[in-house]
Amino acid sequence: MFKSIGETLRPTTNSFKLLVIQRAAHNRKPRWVPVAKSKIYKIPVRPQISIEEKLELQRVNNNYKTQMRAIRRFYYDELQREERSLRSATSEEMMRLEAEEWTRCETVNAHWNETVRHAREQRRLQRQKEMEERALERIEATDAELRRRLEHAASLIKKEKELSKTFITADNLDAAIEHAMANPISYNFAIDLQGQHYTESDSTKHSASPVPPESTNEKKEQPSV
Amino acid sequence: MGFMKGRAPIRRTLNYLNAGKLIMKDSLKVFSLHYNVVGKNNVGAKEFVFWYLPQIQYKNPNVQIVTLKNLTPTPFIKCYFDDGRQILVDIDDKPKEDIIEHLVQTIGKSKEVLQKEIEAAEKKDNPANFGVGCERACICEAYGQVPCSGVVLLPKFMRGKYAFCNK
Repeated sequence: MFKSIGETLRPTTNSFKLLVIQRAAHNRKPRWVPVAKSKIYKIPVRPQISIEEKLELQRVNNNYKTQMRAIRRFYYDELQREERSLRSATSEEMMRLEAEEWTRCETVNAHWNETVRHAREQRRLQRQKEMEERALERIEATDAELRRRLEHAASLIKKEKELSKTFITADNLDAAIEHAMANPISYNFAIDLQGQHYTESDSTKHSASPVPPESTNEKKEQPSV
Repeated sequence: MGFMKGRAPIRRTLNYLNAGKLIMKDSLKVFSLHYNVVGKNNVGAKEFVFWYLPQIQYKNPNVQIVTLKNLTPTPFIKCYFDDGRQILVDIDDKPKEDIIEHLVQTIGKSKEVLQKEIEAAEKKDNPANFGVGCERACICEAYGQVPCSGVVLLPKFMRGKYAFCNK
């Protein structure tokens, strides 16, 4: 039965061709099996259709195709229009979302940058303060050192001034010479383990009487006075 | 270079590279990082370059990443987008963890977007998928698979009519 429908309707319409696609019918032989030997030369008789019927079928078929094409195009256009509007709407939505996201990022980033800037400013101030403190300490240390050296120099000067009273000047030169001439001192002496001095005069006299060290000291200091 | 040579070779392992958190937006094209090698306020930026830059480059192969050393008074990051916009991130005296967190929040893709992208990629990428919205409508289109029984009959031993019939 199915075969007969397929054969009769095959040449007429495209839509009916769908019906003759091979189905998995169990009474059919598989695709790869060739034509039966007994049917090789069998030519099926072409269906005889009269001219009037053919013209009529053509007209009906043409009408059908035209109307179907119109309907198909109508629905296709409608779908396209819908999709276009949807796409523009979604793209607008996307753009809006993107702009929102961008502003959010910018605000977050601006806040972050502001905190970093603030922290850096604080750090800079702290560092400047430390540097100032260190500079002050250094200045104080150098000042103290300078003061110490000045004091040391002053003490030296004071000492020298004290000593300068005993200096031989042009005024007291004659007196000093006379004093020196009057009290000759000989440094040509020997000394023993007890610190006793033996002058030249002692050795010439061959006397063993030692000179006490106290007296020699007194003698030594005399010329500087 | 041998795999275990150099400082912190873990940075070159696939597990480490895949663990990167920062996946940048598609519109971001250039990521430049300025920092100095000396100074306490540059430690975070330096460590960021050392630890996180490999991950970022691995996860964002289409982004150009530039590092500029010793050309700036304070470290900062500048990002350039495809439409000419720029973002400047001051990373002065910030630890590397804070920096990456902030970048994920600002120039990274949000979690929802990433989830959607992963889903889309899964559907398109996996060649085993078939059906509506996939590369092939039917598994029979794959080479070596059983053809649809509507086109070619199954062999008899697969058909219930022959397999279960009482002979």
